[in-house]
Amino acid sequence: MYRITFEQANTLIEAGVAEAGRLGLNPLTFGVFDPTGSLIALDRQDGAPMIGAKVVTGKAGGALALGVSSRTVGELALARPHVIAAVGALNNNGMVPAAGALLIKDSQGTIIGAMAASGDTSDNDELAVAGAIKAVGLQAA
Amino acid sequence: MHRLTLAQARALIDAAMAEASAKGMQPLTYGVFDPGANLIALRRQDGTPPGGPAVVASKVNGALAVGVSSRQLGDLGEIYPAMLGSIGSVFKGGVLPAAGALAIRDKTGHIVGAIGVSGDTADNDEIAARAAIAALGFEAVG
Repeated sequence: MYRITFEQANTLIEAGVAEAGRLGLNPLTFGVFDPTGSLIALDRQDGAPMIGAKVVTGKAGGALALGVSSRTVGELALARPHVIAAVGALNNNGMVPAAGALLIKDSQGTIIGAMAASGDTSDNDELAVAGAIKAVGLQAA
Repeated sequence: MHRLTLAQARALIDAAMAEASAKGMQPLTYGVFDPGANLIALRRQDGTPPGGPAVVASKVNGALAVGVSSRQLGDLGEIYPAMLGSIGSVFKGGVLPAAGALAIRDKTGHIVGAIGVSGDTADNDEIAARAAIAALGFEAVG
């Protein structure tokens, strides 16, 4: 499989909204991206900050660029800030080095996309994303 | 605040998708934005190029910035190319002067957002966008 389908992206966002509701999180923005970092589906819940779409794009863009979660991008940024700043400037979608974006892999381990959330704490954003990916039976990384 | 809700944004996308399907259009990317050109909802159908989200954002940027449709922005650009170039350099993400993006006005006359469509001819993109705005009882700007 080359990338997450439109239907899967829709299902992931619905699952993210359900998970965030269950956890009682703030209004969030959810984005589902193909492996190039281009959006397939996005929902910004009423009351979520206006910058949400750009933040989820930057979190997922950094995760996809480096092949790790955006939480790990944040850890790399603490260890080597100059490298992450430089690579982020090269990346089309920027790089937001904070938890909340996870890569999605198929059963062969190939990256087929990423999902990101923003609007609560980074830890909570990531919880909503991890719950959504698990709920639809895909593999997060 | 005068802006589209997520539910309205999703309804606009559903209506545009229904129009595109009824007219047998290519798979499309649909984006609905607030009046500041910040994305509220986006759907990109299977078979569309990865550039779709950036294209709808650039079309919408111009429509909201100038208060005309992205088609009219293209017409203006033929008369005033330097002006169009300047506008494009002011907005992050640029301004794409091709049909397919329309600002949306509510019954009180306020701009509440915009819809951008891309993936078929620019004319068809605009047909889908315009149909969605009419279906929801809003008014298209331009």
